[in-house]
This record gives sequence, C-alpha cells and structure tokens, in this order.
Amino acid sequence: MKARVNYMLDHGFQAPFVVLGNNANGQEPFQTAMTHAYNYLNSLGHAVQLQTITPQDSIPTIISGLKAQTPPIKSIYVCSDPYLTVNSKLLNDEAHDTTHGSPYIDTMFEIKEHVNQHGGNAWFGSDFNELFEKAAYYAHEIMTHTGTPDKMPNYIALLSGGGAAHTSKKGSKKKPKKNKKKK
Amino acid sequence: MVDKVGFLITTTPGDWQDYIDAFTNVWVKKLGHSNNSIQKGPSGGAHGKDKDIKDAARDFEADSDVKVIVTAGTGAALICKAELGWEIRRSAICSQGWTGPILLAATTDKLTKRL
Repeated sequence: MKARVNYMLDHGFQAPFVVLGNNANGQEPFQTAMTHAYNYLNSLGHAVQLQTITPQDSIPTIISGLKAQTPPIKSIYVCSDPYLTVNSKLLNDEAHDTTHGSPYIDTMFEIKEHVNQHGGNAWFGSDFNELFEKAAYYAHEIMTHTGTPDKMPNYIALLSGGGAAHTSKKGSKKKPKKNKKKK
Repeated sequence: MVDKVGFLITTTPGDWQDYIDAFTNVWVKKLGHSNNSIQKGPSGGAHGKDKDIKDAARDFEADSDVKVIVTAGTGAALICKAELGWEIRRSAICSQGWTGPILLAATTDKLTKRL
C-alpha cells in the first residue's frame, strides 16, 4: 500500500486526496486497505478523507460531491472491488469531466486494466497476467496430482505500475518521447 | 469426461479477457490441456454482484467435472471463505482438500495475509 501511495505521489497526484472504496459497515479487506492509505497520506501531511461507496450509491453523485467541496478534491485513490471494476469507466469519465468548468480529478488504481481499459490515470500493484499464468501451473499440478495445494509456495507477483496524473510532466511527456525514439 | 478448470469471472468477460488469455496460453499451449477443459462462469460474468459470485462458485462446486476453480480478487476469495467454507492460505489459495474443488485466487497485495 505504501509503495502504491508513493508511486501516486511521485507521479503528479496532488492533495486534497480521497480514499474511495466500499468499507460500509467496516467491510474487509477494504476497511483495512482504506485506513492504511488514509493514515499514510495523513502522516505525510496531505489533506485526505475517506469516502465510502456501495453498489447502491450513484457514482456521478459522489464524484460531483467531491468536486463541489472547498477546495475540490484533486485525486482519488481507489480501493476497487468487482463492482467498482465494472463501473470503472463511469467513475473515470465523471472524475475527468471538465465541462462547464468542472474540476478534473486524477484517479489511482491497483490494477493495470483500470488504466488500459477504463481510462484511469495510473496504477501500481501486482501483474495479474503473471498471476494467472502462475495459476495455470498450479492448477496443472493439482489436476495431475503432481502437487498438493498445502505444499505449493504462496506466489507473490512482482509489483509494477504505469501512468501518471493528468497534469504530471513526468508521465504524460516521457512515455510518448520514448516510443518515438524506438520507432 | 474431461476434468475442468472453472473460471469464475467476477466482473465481465471483457474485463477478464487478458486474464483468460494469460491462463489459456499456459494451460493449453504450454501444458497441453484442451480448450474445453476451461469452463467459464457465470455466463456474461458476475458484474461485481456478490450473489452472482456466490452462485457461480456453488455451481462450480456442484459440478463434479470441475476440479479447480480460478478467480481473482480478495473480495471473491473472502466470499468463498465465508459462503463455501473453503480454507484460504496466504496469497489466497483456497483448498477444500483433494475431494473437492480447489480455488486459486489472484489477489493484489499482502493484505491477503489477513485472509
């Protein structure tokens, strides 16, 4: 979590921050994940608040509320779940909508697909493709009786990240230049 | 009968296409299993709905051909633990023992230790 927050801070995300997720009624693991992120940002002196979101909530209404605050929220650290993943594009579109002077909010995720497929600004976390490749080998061992689950090592993928805040000079300008040189 | 892997899609098939491809590339091309040994469910994905995730997990559990279930997400792993009674180890490998399905759940970080 600290590495993800550090990546976010190193890539142009600015306060005030919101840590967003479904921690309704202390639901785990979101309560712990959100509290850790909140406490870490707070310890670094950043303005930060927690925001609960459930499937019953309207994403546009919540984002509008964050934009209407004084000062408006500039960055959202998303603790995603399957519901938020399904609605990730809507969340990003609402956060990035600047029509009628609406302020832009950067969005930070833990999974690459939120950026590559749904328009989020940045991600930092495990490589899920790598995890699924590993799962195939584990499943093979189980089904061919060449390994037992309790003896399989717990596999932790390497952490990596991508993207940057919309206004960041680091991420938004460096990557296209690198691509042009390669071509 | 072919022993199968149940692919529990917690969001949508589109969201999971890269995961399915990553798994299939190893499962079929490198390890030599057949394409029809991967059974995806629920149809159209669970769209993040807890009930649909639970129902899909139960459907896989009830299918004697499905020997292993693969899914992703701490939330899905927790649902399996709470609803199906699967034992979960760190990095979210859920095991019901050799007589039932095994769940391999990809999760994001070390918070899974809490599982």
